[in-house]
Amino acid sequence: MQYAIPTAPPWWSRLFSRMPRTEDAPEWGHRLRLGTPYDDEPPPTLTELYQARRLDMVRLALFLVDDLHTAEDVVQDAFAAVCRSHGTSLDGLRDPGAYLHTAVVNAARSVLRRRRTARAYTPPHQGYGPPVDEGLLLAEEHRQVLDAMAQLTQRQREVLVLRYWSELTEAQIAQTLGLSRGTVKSTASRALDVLEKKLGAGP
Amino acid sequence: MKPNAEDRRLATEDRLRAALAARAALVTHRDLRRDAPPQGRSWGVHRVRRMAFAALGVAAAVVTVCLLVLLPDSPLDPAPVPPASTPGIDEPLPATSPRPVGPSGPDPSVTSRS
Repeated sequence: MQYAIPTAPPWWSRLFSRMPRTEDAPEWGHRLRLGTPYDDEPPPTLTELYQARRLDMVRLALFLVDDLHTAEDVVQDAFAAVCRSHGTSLDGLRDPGAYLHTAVVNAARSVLRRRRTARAYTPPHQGYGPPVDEGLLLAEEHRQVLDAMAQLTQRQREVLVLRYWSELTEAQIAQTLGLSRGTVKSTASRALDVLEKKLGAGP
Repeated sequence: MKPNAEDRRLATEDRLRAALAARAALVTHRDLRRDAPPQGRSWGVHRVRRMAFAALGVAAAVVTVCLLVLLPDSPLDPAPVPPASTPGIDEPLPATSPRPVGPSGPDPSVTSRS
């Protein structure tokens, strides 16, 4: 079987041990944490990274671009960029998780930039949008929060998603987004202020 | 930040985490396309570039050494020193002593005409 579970888990599977596991990817757990460069053991291959991180990266991209099909394209593009730069062996990549985060965020930014450009010439395109049943499945309070988040600026959304969903530190967010730590801190604080106001003013 | 504001901030953060987790949980592996991981070379562009620069450096070093060795007037191949010149030609003349005045002869400058 091509993707058989190895008898002895690779060294980096320890990185997943503290994270909650999804029901669909039991073999390697939830995520490859940032800031955990390998020292003397070989890094995961691109295929291993793809299997372990694709779902999380799609979810991250979904928060940034707002529809699943585009999010999947974004993640595929990001993995293709990683493959071009570092090959399938990921040789020379000290922190694949951090690199992947940055690649996904950059690919999502490119999509949003193209959307803005297209919007200047064509009528607004609604995209695929969330699944029809998403509104039914999400609790009302969650929908309020997500609606309020949709009104934030792109940078504010990026910072909040990386902080409160990817659980990155300020330093890691700064590295991922190419900002200073101070900017990350102030952006997060301002974004939370806006959210508080919107949620407080809501029904 | 006041305690009340702190509580509000913590509550907002909790709500945000819960909302993000709830929406993320709606997307599972079953919802994703069956895309295969990208396939390509084992070596990425970065490694190829590193190797190319290293090869260029080695080639440059080899060429430099060859030039130093083979070219005339190189520090490793100094020009032959010409033989020493014959003594005497370039030697300075020995200092001439003042002409001795003979005690017997009259001084020619003071000879009177007769």
